[in-house]
Amino acid sequence: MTSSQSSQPFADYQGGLLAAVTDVAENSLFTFADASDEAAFDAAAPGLGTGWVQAQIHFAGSTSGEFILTVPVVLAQRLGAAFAGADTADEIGEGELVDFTGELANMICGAWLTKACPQEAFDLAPPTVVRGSAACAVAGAGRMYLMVEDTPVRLEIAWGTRNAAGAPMEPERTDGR
Amino acid sequence: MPEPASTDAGKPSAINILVVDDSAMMRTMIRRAAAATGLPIGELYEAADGQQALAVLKEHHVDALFTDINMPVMTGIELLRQIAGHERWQHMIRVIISTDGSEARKSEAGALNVRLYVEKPFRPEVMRDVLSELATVR
Repeated sequence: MTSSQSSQPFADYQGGLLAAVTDVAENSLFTFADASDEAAFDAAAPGLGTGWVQAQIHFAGSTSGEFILTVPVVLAQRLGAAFAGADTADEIGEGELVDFTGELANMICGAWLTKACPQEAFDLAPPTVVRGSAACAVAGAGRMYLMVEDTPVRLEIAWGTRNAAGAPMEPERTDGR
Repeated sequence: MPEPASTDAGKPSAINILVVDDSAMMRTMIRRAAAATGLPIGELYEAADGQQALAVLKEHHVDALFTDINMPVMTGIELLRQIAGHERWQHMIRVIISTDGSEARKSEAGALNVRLYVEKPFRPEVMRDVLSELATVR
């Protein structure tokens, strides 16, 4: 597993994230997740073009920040079908894709925070889900890469707080959008 | 107001359930998992947040409430607080299904008469265990 580093308050947050993803994959998606690297993700990204979906969740507790999950649409559809008990990925339409990707991010983020801080409650905002390219990384975020069903997935953690108006801080995007 | 489905003497009565979660996919997963248990389920109502759940509760008889915590409009904790203030809903068995498995949240839920706390992610067979336990306490 390779990843970029960012200032972060949890010891071994990447190990915690991997444990959370493994928990979600095995218990709710009936599949497995393996550690991977940035090179594998970057190699797959151009071929998928805009066929990616990204879910972002703001978490707030003793520390706060943004959790971002980036996954290929085709994988999200397959996992969504497994989650809902659908016969095929074709049954997962646009609405289900958005809903499932948000819930997947919610489960991973929630499981990770529970493992990292078992005594403390965190509030998780409703996920924001967008479709587009994979080049939507948050500058300065901690990143880790996974392989699920031979398909690359990226997780990002950007530590920070909401602004005074209560709205989440706009992540600094690296793709110029 | 609809009443729970009646059953033959000797058979356990069907349980009316309200599932509250802002994810429609999660509600579908819970519905399918509940159906697969083979246990007597009466009506299974759905709501996307606490406010919608209160509207359902005012219209229908519900034996067991399964609620998420983090939801827009009204959270599961606020929903449970509202329920605690109404005598007509005191019979209802309360179950939390949430990604938040912290001790702080479990303690908060316990103070609001939550009987069971299920952490997401969970395997579908967990729903059988939950419903079986609910059947024994009714």
